[in-house]
Amino acid sequence: MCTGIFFHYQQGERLKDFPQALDQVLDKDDVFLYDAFYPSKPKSSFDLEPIPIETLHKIHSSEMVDRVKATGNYEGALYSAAGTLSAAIKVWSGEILNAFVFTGYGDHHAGSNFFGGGCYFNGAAIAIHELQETFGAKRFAIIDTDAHHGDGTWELFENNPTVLYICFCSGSSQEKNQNINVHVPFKVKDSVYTALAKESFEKLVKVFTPEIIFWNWGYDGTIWEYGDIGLTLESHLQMTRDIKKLANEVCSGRLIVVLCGGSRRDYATFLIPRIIRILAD
Amino acid sequence: MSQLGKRYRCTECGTEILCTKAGEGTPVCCDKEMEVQEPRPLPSSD
Repeated sequence: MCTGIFFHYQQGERLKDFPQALDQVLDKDDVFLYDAFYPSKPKSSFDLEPIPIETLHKIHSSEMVDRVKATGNYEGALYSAAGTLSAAIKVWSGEILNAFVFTGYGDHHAGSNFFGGGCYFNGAAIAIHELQETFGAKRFAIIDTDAHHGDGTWELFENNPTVLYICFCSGSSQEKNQNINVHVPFKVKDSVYTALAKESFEKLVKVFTPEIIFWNWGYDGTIWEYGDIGLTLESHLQMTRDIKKLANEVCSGRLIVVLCGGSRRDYATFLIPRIIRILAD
Repeated sequence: MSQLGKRYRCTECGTEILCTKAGEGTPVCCDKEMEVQEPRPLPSSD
């Protein structure tokens, strides 16, 4: 089975080394690059297409979509969410086993009628709605290890029993239906973090048995990052191995990793190719 | 020099290829060097 990489070119600093940094990853026969945005280019099966406006409106209010348009970041936000949607459809249909989605804007601070914190459209929520409506998928899990609380994802799914949302952040522990906030200490060692993960999402996911897992992966909790909680670079790789193993056990490996917070270019260039390689091995 | 992740297009027959391994030389189709398709970068949060 294959790993899909969903990529669109961006103006920002943190992904400046991509796609060149994927050199050792795209070597593999079972890794595909789905890209976006070449002018005057006929469609191909490897294109990343924008999300239709009517699909956006199933999750976000039309007023909110208009407000996003007014920011000037609409197209970047659209293609960020489009990667997650496209990845979900291709994973669900069996075209690929798992995926890594490059985003210019995250999604977990985007709710039904609000956005902020560098997030505009909730790609995971849009993808889940599409899988439910079009493909009849029934149970989903979102694991959120960005250092900040995913208030948008929380709001969208707090009354939805089909979605298990587990958010790892420094906020207080709380629980509502299938929404679970796991308190992470302000400073934490890798071993403590990993143990916390095993205690919480591994157990919860095994009980819930989702059919597909979305992982909102942020590296902003890494040491010297803006959300520094003391995590090392290695912790992200270990987490990838653990979550991939979990996906193999509960949902035949169906896993979508969505890039969220983190600003350092050197960290992105180090971590992302290694994470994709773990997904593909 | 071909470039990783870039798309090339044949101006004669319209064939497009995606470079997944960079190397020396430029892809050729219909006896002509293929043209690299320039991406349009989108804004991002950083």
